[in-house]
Amino acid sequence: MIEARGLTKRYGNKLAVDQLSFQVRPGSVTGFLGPNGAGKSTTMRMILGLDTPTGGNVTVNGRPYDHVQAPLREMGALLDAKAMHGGRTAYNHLLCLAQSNGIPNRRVDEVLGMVGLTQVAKKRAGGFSLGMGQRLGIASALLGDPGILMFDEPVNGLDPEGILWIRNLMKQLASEGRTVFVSSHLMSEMEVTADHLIVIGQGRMIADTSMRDFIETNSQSFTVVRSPQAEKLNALLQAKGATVTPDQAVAGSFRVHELSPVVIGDLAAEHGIALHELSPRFDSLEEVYMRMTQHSVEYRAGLPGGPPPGWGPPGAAPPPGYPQQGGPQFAGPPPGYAQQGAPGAPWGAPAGAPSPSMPRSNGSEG
Amino acid sequence: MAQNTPPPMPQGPPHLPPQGQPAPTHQHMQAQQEPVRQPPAQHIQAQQLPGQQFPPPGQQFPSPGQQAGRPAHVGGHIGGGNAGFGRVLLSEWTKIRTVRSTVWTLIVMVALILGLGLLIAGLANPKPKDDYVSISLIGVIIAQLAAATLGVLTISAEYTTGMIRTTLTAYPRRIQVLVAKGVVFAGLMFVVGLVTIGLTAVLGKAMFTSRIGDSTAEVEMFRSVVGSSLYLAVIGLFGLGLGVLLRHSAGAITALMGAILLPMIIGPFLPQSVGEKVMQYSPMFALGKLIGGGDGDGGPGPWPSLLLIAVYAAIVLIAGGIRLRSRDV
Repeated sequence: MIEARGLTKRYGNKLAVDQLSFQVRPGSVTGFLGPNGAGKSTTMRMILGLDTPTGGNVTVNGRPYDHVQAPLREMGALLDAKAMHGGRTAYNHLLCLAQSNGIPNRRVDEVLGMVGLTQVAKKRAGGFSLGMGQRLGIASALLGDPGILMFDEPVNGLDPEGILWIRNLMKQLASEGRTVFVSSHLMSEMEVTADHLIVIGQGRMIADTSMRDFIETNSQSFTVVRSPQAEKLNALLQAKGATVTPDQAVAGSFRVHELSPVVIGDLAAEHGIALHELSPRFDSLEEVYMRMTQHSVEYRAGLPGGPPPGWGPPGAAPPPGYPQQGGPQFAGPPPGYAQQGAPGAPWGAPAGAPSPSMPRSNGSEG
Repeated sequence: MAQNTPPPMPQGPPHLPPQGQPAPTHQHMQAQQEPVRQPPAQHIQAQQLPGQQFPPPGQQFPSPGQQAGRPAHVGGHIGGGNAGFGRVLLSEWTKIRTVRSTVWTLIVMVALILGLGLLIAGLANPKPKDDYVSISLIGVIIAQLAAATLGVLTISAEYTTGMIRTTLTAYPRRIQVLVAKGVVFAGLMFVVGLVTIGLTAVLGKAMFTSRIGDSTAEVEMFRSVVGSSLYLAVIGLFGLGLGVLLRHSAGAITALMGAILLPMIIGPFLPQSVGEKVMQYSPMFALGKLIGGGDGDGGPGPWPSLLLIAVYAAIVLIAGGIRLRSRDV
């Protein structure tokens, strides 16, 4: 359990972390989400006692981190895969960490095996690729067999296979009853890993909620309707209480909120209006997240009103069990273009939001 | 997640144990070592491309609790003792011996002391009234630069590589880490110095004696050998202090070179009363006194000089320690 109370960090005039209070609980993966510069890494450094909070405090299992006798046995952290002396071999790097916590040497071989680095154990870490460095960092986090694990952007720079491995690792660590706290700036990554979400922007708490609640509360849906008799249909829909916004790009096309496609279709049929398109759309979580944090993005590209093209995890393969209609979502849709819902998906089911259908860990919350 | 986990947990969901509970699972953990270690290697051979060493998705992170088919006892499976200062010493010893800069700096240091000493013992022609031992130890004056530089690198390399964050995450009591570094480093310098300087003194004296004949000078072997070995440890600690204070290798090494060399360079150009003091209270002067006595030069004697340099080292170490403790890393 990690517990922050009013955690604040100020660098000169800049408030990096502003009154954050949250708990990270055992048995689930807690995603720590926010745009670059939101204060995620600073918060994590404060948890580890590397940075001293300007205000508030944070405890690990009820104690400040630097009061823990053998911290690696309680909490393992991967902050920066490059935070090691490149001249030291992987084995020796882990050995000196193990020794400082009284961890037996054989455990070093074990964790090297767990992350698949046994064959390069005697190679200097400076020659490691980013992925190998990341695995070595994870090995050091696992060294003390800790009940709490914290990873800062663990999938950055990894190939799809490495990403998948880390996702499964985090889920499994959580299913074992461990506390897993993982930061990312990609909603799409959290979508497939996290059970709980803590979203921050410019150091402030935006949301602290379960993934399910997050989706249900924040995922908006609407229906795209195209008809040669758009104006007539419009009037009818508005009479039914719908909000209608015309689509500038396509003549006769408009978005209908607050009415289901079934109602719209029936209404059109009743009045003999031809429909050329009737398609339910759902916001992806990425869009929800973008909307939530758009006012708190610190460093923005010059493009007005949206993320840069290709936003989303480039090359990330949909994980197993991820609904396949979500496919285009991974290619990074342009902002404002909502996802095509699953054909035949029942109205109200957030098709772009797969997490509720994801298998939950087997009741492991302690 | 659950449905991917190969061995189901028959005894119900895992639960969290009270924290700090001692691990009763030591022997069962040992029994699990083989399966833990083997699978990745097999996968690399069997189905992975070269360089693709991630265990494949199907393979789960092996957890002791799950493999044994028992409720996961979260953490604490690995045995061993607690963290303490002895452990940090061991850890710092591992760190210092496992980087090449240590090995190379020590080789340079030994080569300078022994090589220069033997070269001079073989070529120089001192008068019989000269102290053969102190002449043989001329290399220590250069070798101190290597010792002090290594002192800087011992800590500054942790800052430049980012290792310091990993170090302090593993062991957050920062002052203990600094003290452990100092003890390990100073011990290493003293032992290597003592062996090298002792050997050089004995060999050099023997070579001079066989070439020129016995010296009439009064030789204080203990002061020359042990004193200059202690000096190497102390000047190294001075470097360590500068390293932790300044955090940057280049800056700290420059400051160090200035502190060692500058007094002797600018001393002669200062007004005499000031210049004399600047030189007499400098590290180089202390080393000269320790190696060769130099009673005629005035200023503090050999041992008080060494003590003075130790005070300098203590001042930068304390300043560095204060900075280490109060600043973010």
